[in-house]
Amino acid sequence: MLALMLLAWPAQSWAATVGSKAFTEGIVLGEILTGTLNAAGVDATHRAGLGGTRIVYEALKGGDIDAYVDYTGTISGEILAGRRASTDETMRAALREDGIGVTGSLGFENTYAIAMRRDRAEALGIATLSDLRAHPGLTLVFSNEFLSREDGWPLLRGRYSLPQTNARGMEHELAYRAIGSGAIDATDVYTTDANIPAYGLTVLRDDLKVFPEYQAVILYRLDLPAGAVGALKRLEGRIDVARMQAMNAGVTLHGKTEQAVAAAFLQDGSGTAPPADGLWRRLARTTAEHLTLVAISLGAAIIVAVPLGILAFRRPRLGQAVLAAAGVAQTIPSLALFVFMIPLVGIGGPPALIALFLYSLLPIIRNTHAGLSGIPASLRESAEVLGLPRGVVLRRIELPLAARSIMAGIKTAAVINVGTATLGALIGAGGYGQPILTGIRLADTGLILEGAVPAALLALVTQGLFELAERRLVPRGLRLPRQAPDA
Amino acid sequence: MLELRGVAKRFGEAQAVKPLSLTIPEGKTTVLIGPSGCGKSTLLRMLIGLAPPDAGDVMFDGAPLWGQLSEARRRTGYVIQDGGLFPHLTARENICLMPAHLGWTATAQADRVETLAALTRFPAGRLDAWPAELSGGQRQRVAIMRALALDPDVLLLDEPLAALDPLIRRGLQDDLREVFRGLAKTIVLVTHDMHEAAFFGDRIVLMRDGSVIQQGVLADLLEHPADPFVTEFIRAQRSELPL
Repeated sequence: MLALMLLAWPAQSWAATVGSKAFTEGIVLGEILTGTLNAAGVDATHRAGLGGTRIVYEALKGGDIDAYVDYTGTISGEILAGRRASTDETMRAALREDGIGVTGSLGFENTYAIAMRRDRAEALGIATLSDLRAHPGLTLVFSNEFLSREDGWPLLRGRYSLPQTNARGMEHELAYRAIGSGAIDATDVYTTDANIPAYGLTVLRDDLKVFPEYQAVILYRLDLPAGAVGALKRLEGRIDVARMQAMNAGVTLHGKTEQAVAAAFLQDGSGTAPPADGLWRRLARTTAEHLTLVAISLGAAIIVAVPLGILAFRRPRLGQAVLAAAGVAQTIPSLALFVFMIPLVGIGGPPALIALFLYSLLPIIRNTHAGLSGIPASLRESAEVLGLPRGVVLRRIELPLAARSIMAGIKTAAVINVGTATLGALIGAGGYGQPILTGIRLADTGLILEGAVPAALLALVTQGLFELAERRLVPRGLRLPRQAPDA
Repeated sequence: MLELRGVAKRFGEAQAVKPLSLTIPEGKTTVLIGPSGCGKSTLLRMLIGLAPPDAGDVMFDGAPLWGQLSEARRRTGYVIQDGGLFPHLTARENICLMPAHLGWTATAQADRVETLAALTRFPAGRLDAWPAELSGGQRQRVAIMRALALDPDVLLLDEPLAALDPLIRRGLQDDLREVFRGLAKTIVLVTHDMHEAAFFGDRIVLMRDGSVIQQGVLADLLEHPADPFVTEFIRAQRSELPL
């Protein structure tokens, strides 16, 4: 079944694929890499905003993408954690084991820093990270990645002996809004971040020099053609920190697209970026992607879950195990599921399809089981004593009697599926989640609505279609009100 | 045709049927009667394989029922209290489930339904109605038609009239007796109503607490009661007897 789902995903002819993590700078750099490769005559596409480091690096290792930009501190502290890669040479050697090469710095460093609102920091007399020690009551909110990674909050807290124990995680762009509105006191920022002046923030000095170097470098697969590697290496030293800040500001503050910002950079040097799509084109594309995700995963789930529901009903002990397994699948967070699956099936459509398929199983299995179990004993026995074979009883009597419940399960699965499919954008499956994620990243309500409104409409349409289907599939005799009077 | 040899059945702590043997006379109507919980329904369910006995044998046409269950079920019609009609099938579809499965032609099915409707006095115009659109009495007639669809040798009925109100019940009772007399099949009917037993039964089997107390024609039970309970049970319902 999984193989079928994978086959159904359209295959593409080879082209270099550039990846990027889901933040503005990563995507701008991804566009620049793509444009540079195209200018060098290498056919390249960009899978933008794939998620966090784990997802993108696994995708690179697995060959789903061929290059992306990461930072030296992230490489040594997270990707190669526990593999003794503190120096340049050891890092290169360790990456080579994974079949990955690395360029020199692009010319700027984007290190982690902690920022506070300037007025608040001045009022409390905080200028350095050491100053935080005197204020245990501050509300600290970090991006989920910074909160958990070894070179993030745990390192900072240990070295500076910080007393704050209440640090929480939040989507990074939301954290900016929270600190801008004064809801929280401090958060992590990137030094190239255009939001620092925009939200009136000040960066606290890293007086103990705790944060490692975060030079921007390109990670690429060693099996890339030499021409492509050469083109990428020509980007070394080309972007300074002011340039990067300006490009970030162009996107997050001035409403330009990453493509436009990257194109402006490439025109200074060499190469061009493709023009951006208009609203209707984007909508047509995300709708097609979203519908494909939902239709394939839901269709496969129906084909698998209805028989499993029948099995669960026929063999109660096995049934408990089946229901428990489907229940467990339901509780796995989608992001975790995506990360598990990247080494197995790569990025893009397949892992999203498998996740959506798994999430659709439980409502259908459970409702099939409940529908069959709910058939009154008198009807069950009446069917049995007729002398019909079991298969005929199932097809002619039990399934029609359970049809209403089974349809309700499929309807629930479909509506959940439409909503969950928006998360597919985290791993490059596209769909309505794409504009939502981009909109959150750019604090652009219009873009968020461009994904959220069609997703909501699609959920309503799906619900309506299944209600029509229910009218066709549930036998008419079951929809009549029971009329008891003797005439 | 039907014989119970030393059968017994226990449901948890309760001994529903104590070891007993019983021969059902062929071509006659036998009524199993007794107070609730006496084991009469369990005995009937043994005859169709719904309640396998813990001990003893159920014989169908001279051989154990278990070796020929689906064959025996096709030669047996079974009607329960609420009819057990499938609500997603019309009256006609309910009746024709087995004939259709066995590959009868549409004409043969239609002929059979027409014959049965005339026999049970079911209005032909209602044959394509859904069970939910039929009255209780009509539903019960459809259930009897379904049981008779394959012209079985045996007809088993478990309180077939108990859910109907008295007027309807009376009408169906008369029609049902006509059907029984016309068919001369081996019929076993379970009831708790002495009037019904007297009305239908060529032979009455009176049960209490999982045992057969007495069996015979009504006159035997009245004139030669085997136990004071027999007289007591009959007297309790005497006012309704057609005597």
